[in-house]
Formats: sequence, structure tokens, C-alpha cells
Amino acid sequence: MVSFALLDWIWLILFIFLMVICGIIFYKLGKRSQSDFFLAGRGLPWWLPASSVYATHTATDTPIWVAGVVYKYGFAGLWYAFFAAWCAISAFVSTRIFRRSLAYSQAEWQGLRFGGLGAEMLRGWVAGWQVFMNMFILGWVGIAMGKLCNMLFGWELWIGLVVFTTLGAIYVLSSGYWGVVMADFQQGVIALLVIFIVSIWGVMAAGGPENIINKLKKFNSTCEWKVPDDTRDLAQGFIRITDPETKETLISSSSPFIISSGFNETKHAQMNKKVKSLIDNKEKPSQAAILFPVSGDTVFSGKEYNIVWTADKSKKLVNVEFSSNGNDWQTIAENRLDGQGWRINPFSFTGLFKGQFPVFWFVTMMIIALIGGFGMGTNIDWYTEAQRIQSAKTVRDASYSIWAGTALVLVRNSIWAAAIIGFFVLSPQLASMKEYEMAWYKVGFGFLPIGMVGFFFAGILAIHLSTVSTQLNLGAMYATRDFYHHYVNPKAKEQKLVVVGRISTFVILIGSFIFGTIIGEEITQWLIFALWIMAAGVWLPNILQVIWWRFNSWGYLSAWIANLGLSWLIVWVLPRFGIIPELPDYMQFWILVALNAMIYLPVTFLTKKENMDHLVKYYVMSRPIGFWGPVRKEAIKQGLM
Amino acid sequence: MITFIFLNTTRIGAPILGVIIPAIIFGFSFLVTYLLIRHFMKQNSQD
Repeated sequence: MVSFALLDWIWLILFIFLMVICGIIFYKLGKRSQSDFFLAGRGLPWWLPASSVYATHTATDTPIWVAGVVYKYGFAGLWYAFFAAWCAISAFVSTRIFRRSLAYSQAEWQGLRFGGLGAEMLRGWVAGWQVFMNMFILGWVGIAMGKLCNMLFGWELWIGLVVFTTLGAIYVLSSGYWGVVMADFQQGVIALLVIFIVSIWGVMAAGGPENIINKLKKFNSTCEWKVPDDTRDLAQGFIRITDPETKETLISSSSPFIISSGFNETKHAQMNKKVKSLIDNKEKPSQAAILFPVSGDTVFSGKEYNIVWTADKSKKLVNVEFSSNGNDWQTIAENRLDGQGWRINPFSFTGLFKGQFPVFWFVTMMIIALIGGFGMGTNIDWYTEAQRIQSAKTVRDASYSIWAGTALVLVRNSIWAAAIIGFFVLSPQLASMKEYEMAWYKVGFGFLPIGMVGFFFAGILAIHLSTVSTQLNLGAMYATRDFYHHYVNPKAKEQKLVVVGRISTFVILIGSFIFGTIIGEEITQWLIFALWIMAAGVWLPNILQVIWWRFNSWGYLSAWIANLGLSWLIVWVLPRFGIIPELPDYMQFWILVALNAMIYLPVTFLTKKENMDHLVKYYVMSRPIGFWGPVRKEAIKQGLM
Repeated sequence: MITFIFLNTTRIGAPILGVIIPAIIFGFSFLVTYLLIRHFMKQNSQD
């Protein structure tokens, strides 16, 4: 648990007070029109939406999962977060096309790009999906904040969820997107500096960059060994390292460690501290040895740990083995003997297709990220980015904002990674994801001096509020612009639309509390599956809708529907019945891309082309790149170009 | 079941940093935001 001194409380309360005031000040501007309430009047210079892109995509759960992949895979884990690079291409392709269209939302853009009944069905579907998704994401990040406050202060889960989401809602309700973007700017500045400072502290705590590299070269660590369930209390255990070819024992425990059947938090914390000092003192180990677990250590049955032992210069693969009696050995893992230096190499591939970081996974991820930038909606982040694109005052400002905001996101990840590698050096024995994914929070609350602990929590609050405020305003935009204004009351006055925007914000806030309270581990898995659906089968259609004139609304709709069924089959159903093996995620992706194409391409060619006049109108307005020859010819023929 | 975060607390750095660093960062961020607010208020009053 974290204890706050008076100074910590002063900084925290000061931050909350000033930040909410800054957001509310824009009340008068926000109430003028829906353009003000949802897009700040489309008059922002590039650096304001850029700071909003950065701040929005830094949430309380972001350092948790970045820590998780970097602790497990080293700097190579950063590639898991590299999907944000879709903006590198998008900034100069889809961003410009979308900004020129003047659509408020992706749903509205599809109404401009496609025509007729198919376009109406798409607009309704995308708008409904986005209202739901924003509510769900709010519940998700809200409960993440609730869990964090529970772990830090022992508060009930609902307190962190309700109090801090409501805090964000205050300025969103009053000022709309004006409040969001102004608070995001201020929160972005604070969050970036907090991340930078805490990472410096993390690296310092591990002895500095040179020391970190040296230590990584001097010891080894396996991945995720689960201690066998043993009902006997105080059972014994031994570890040894063997050569798999010669069967020779290279290193072994001199005496047994203890396996306890009952978990004890105090003993667990003491042991973590002991390993840290052990690693600190093993600058130059005189001889090869097991460092953890050793005689005097207690591990708990059913819990996960990494075995830690000294390294040598040999690159050969060795077996890490466990025995409960010193006679019968079982292999825990296969590992190299030359230390953990690979963790600082972002290209430490484990083979073309094999291991935890294969080349083919990397290539797939790069294609998804970079080629995806030609499309709209190839990444879930597109929907929030689209709002920022439209709020920029010119097409050029929109491009710069998306490029710069994402560049900051990628820089942020690298800064975090430095702290996580430092944390790994201090605690290489952690194998439970629940423990090591909290690394960044542990560094901040564990090493910062009094006063900066409150400042650190204010930074966490900043990253939380920036995400909450964006999702509230974005969900309300889809409800107001794409439902109420488009279907219910197309003649509504601007003032009325602002009122509807505020009511929608409130409804989404309440909905997020409901989702937040019912979200558990399983539902999070469902959400990941929902994101996977959006990424895989409709990835290519999301590009085709931008670059190919012949692709129509029926093709897009059929891709969505087919993908819902096919992804179930490929990811869960067929492997469960043994019809196909369980495939790695990158293989699932390519199979879904191919199978979906076999459905939506025939549907596209068997249904009517979009109306040419409708396409010409869209083309002249948005000037898309790609395969638009017939539409361009028609536009020239009509004297529009 | 949610467990409490395990912390090995070892404070690094002089205690005065807990006053100086937050004061500089909060001061800077609020000053810049204030200037921004003034700019947009002025711009919008002219519209």
C-alpha cells in the first residue's frame, strides 16, 4: 500500500482543482454549436490535436501492458505496441482524405463514400458499434483505475471508477471537445514529464544504464515456472542446469529450498527484496551458481517464478530442471547460457516461425501497422483520431497532428521500456504477469521521494482523465450526430444538438459505470477478441473502401458479417474440435484475410456499383488516392476538375 | 481476488525534489494552458 504525506495531498488536490477549472472555462465556446461541442469549431493548430492524440492514447492500463510485454520480451516487446505506427502513412493518406470530406465521424464518412440503402445500414451499424465501444472502453479504463486505487490505497473498486470518471465528465459536460482538448494539452504535458522522470528514477534505482547492461550479461532468468502443487507444507526443491546433449550437470543447488503450501505476503515481499540485494551484490560472481531459489528461500506451491542463475559466455542451449527429491528431474525450460543481454536487442528474433518472437510475426505486425495507414478503421484508434483530424484547422494541420501525436506515443513507449528493463534487473525472479506488469507503478511509488509520490499520482490521474474525457465526448458525438441528427431530428437547431450532446454524454457516463462494474477477466478477453475481429477480417476492406472506387457498401457489410462467423471458427471452434491445430495469431490473421476476401470480393462484383454521380461528388470533395480512374474521368467530363 | 501492490520502498533523491520538480512542472503546464486559454478567448471574441 502507498502512504501519502501532506505534501503529496497538496500537489494532488492542486492539480485536480486547476485542471477542472481549465476545462470548464470553455463553457461559453462549447455551447455555441455542435461543431464547437464536438470539434472545437474545426479551428485548432496542429499541436493541440497532436497533444490530444498523445494524451488520449496514454491510459492507466497502457503502462500495465507495455510493462508486461517489455518485462517478458525485453526491448523486442516494444514491437507489440508498434501498431500505432499506422499513423506514419495515414498522416499523409487517409488523414488528408478524411479531413477534406468534412465528415464529423467515420460513420458519416461512410455515408458520403457509399450511397443508398447500404450506406444507411453502414452508418447506423458503425454509429451503434461506436456508442457501445466508447461505453465499454470507458468501463474498461474506469475499472482499471478502480483496481489501481484498490491496490494502492485499499479503496473499494467502485470509488476509483466513479470518482475519477465523474471528474472527467464535469468538464466534458460543460465544454464538450473544447474542454477535452484544452485539458488534454495540459494533461499531456504533465503525463509526458511524469513518464520521463519516473523512468529516470527507475534506471537510477537499477544503477544506471551501464550497470543495467552489465547485470543483464551476468545472470540468466527463465520464463514462468509454476511451482508444482504440493499439499505437504515445507516440502523441498532443487534446481539444476544441464547440457541437453552431454547430460552433464553444469550448475546445481547445493542444498534445497522450501516449497510452502500456504501463500504468505510478508514472506513473498521479503524474498523479492532479498533477490534484489543478491543481484546487486553479484557484480562478479566467482563461480557459476543458482541465485534463486536457493537454500533459505521459500517459494509457494502453485505460484509462478523465474529461476535466476549466473551466466557464462557460452551461447549454447541448456535445460533448466527441477526436482523435489534430488533424484527425479523434470525440465522446466530451455534457455541460453550467455545471459540476458538479448533483452536490450529489439531484433532478438527466436527464428523464422519458432519461439516467442518469430520473424514472421514481426513482418505481419509491420504490414498491419504500415499498410493499414492507407485505410480508415484498420486500427481501433482511428475512431478517436478521426475526431482530432476534423478538429484541425487545415488539411496540413490534420496531417501534422496525427504524425506528431503518434510519434510522441512511440517515444513514450521507449521511455517506459527503459524503466521496465531497470525493474527487470532489480526483480528478475517475477514470473506472475499480475506482479511484473505493475512494474512502472512499483518504480514510481517505490523510489520517488515524498511530494513526488502525490505528483506521480496526479500524472496517473492526468493520463486517466485524458482517455475518459475523449471517449465520453466521442461516444456522445456518434449518438448526437449519427443517430439523433441524422435519423430522429434532421432539422434540429444547433443549441438543441448541444443539449442532446450533453444528455448523451451523461447517458454514456452512467452506461460506463454499469459496464465497469460487470467487467472481469473473462470480459476483458472478449473485448480483446472484439478488437481482433476488427483488426483481422475487415482490415483489407477498410483499406479498399479508401483506395478502390469499385468497392461498395454491400462488399463492406458482407466482410463485417462474414468476419464475425469466420473469426469464431478459426480462433476457437475448429481448433476446439481438433479440425485445425491452434494457430499462432499471425497465421490466424492471414487466414482470416484470405477467407474473408473469398466472400466480399464476389459480393462486391455481383452487386451494383455505387451511383457514379455520388462517387464523383465524393471524389471531388475528398480527392482519394488509389484506383479511382473511371470516377476521375467522369469528374473531368463533368467539368468538376 | 485483488492483492495489494508489493512495494520495496527505497526513496531515491533529496526530499526537496518533492517540492521543486512538481512546482516547476505544474507551474509550467498551467502557465502554458493559461496562455492558450487567453489566446482562444481573444480569437473567439473577435469572430
